[in-house]
Amino acid sequence: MNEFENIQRLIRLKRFEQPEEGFTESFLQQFHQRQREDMLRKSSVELFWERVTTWWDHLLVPKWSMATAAVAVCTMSVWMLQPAAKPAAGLTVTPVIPEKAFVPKMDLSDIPLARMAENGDATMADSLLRKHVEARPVLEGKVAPPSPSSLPTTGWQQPTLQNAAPAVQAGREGMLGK
Amino acid sequence: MDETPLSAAAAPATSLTPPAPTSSSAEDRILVDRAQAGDTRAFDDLVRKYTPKLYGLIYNMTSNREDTADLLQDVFAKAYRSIKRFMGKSSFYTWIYSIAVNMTLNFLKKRGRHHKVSLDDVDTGIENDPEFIRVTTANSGTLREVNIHELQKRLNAAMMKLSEDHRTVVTLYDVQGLQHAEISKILGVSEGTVRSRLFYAHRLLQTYLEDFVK
Repeated sequence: MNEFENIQRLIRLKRFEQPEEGFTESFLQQFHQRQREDMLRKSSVELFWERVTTWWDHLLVPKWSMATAAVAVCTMSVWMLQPAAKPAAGLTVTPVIPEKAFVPKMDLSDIPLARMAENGDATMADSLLRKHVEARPVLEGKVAPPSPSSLPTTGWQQPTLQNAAPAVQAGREGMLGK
Repeated sequence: MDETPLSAAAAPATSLTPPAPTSSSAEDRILVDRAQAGDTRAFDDLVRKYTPKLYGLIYNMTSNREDTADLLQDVFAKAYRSIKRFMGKSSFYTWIYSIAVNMTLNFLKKRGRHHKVSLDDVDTGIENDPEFIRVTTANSGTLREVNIHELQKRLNAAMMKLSEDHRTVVTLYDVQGLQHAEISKILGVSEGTVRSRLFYAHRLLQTYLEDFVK
């Protein structure tokens, strides 16, 4: 036996609390009357708003998530559609100076040589230094490439700072902007 | 009038079985289809059919006749405005019960917990209900043994002591005779929650009405 059987039996007596005879028909008449009154009393805007809220109320479970999504979409739209910020009238506009074009500081072909220099090959280190000093001003477009006469004579020579002097000089001038 | 309390055992065993809601979904579906097509008489038939049921639901939640009539008007007005949006995913009675329960709970929140049940709120017509008389006097032989007015007062007071959520499940289950699954659909909570609320509500009511259920 259910432990609450007695109390349930007692509560069920409340189902006899029903409206009196004729209540339903009278209620229906009042319902029609009220609908007509509403149509006359309420403005079209109020009726429209009532419809909108009724429609919205029926999105029972996702109501708040829908509202949040709607607010998020509106916010994003406003943010995306707003014009770019203009400088204030009192401020002076500073012209934008374009940056210098990128100039590589090292010829990529030197990479194997650099690796050799790292391995302690002094000859190759000298060669790399010489080539760098020669190439940089030329790459930056500040001096013309050195003439063949300024380069060491034909044939392989031991590269030293002395026989690279013209090129070093040209490089220095280029770096100083002469 | 005697003050002898009603013994719950006086009610016949048949009254333990809650009345199954005569939903007749197919019939409702036809009426809804006609109402959606603009047939206002079909909607009137739905109003006629559901007014007594919803009256019982709202009255037992508010314990006030005037509030019940006003709320019932609002419920059907809202249903009428929304009938075109009813897609038939649930039965019509689940849908209309959901509207009624939600609107009544909102009303009760606005009214607040300070509302006191007055003696005037007691249904004065019930003592003349032949079925009620039959049930309450089945084993005792005379109505004099039961102070019906007192019983009603105590029942209403006990119900109003419950929280709104507990009162709602008791009304839907014990008074309206709905099943746990139907109540869970109407309230939008799990069946476990419905059972849990029912258990606590019954336990509280048993405490409040101890002298009636000895």
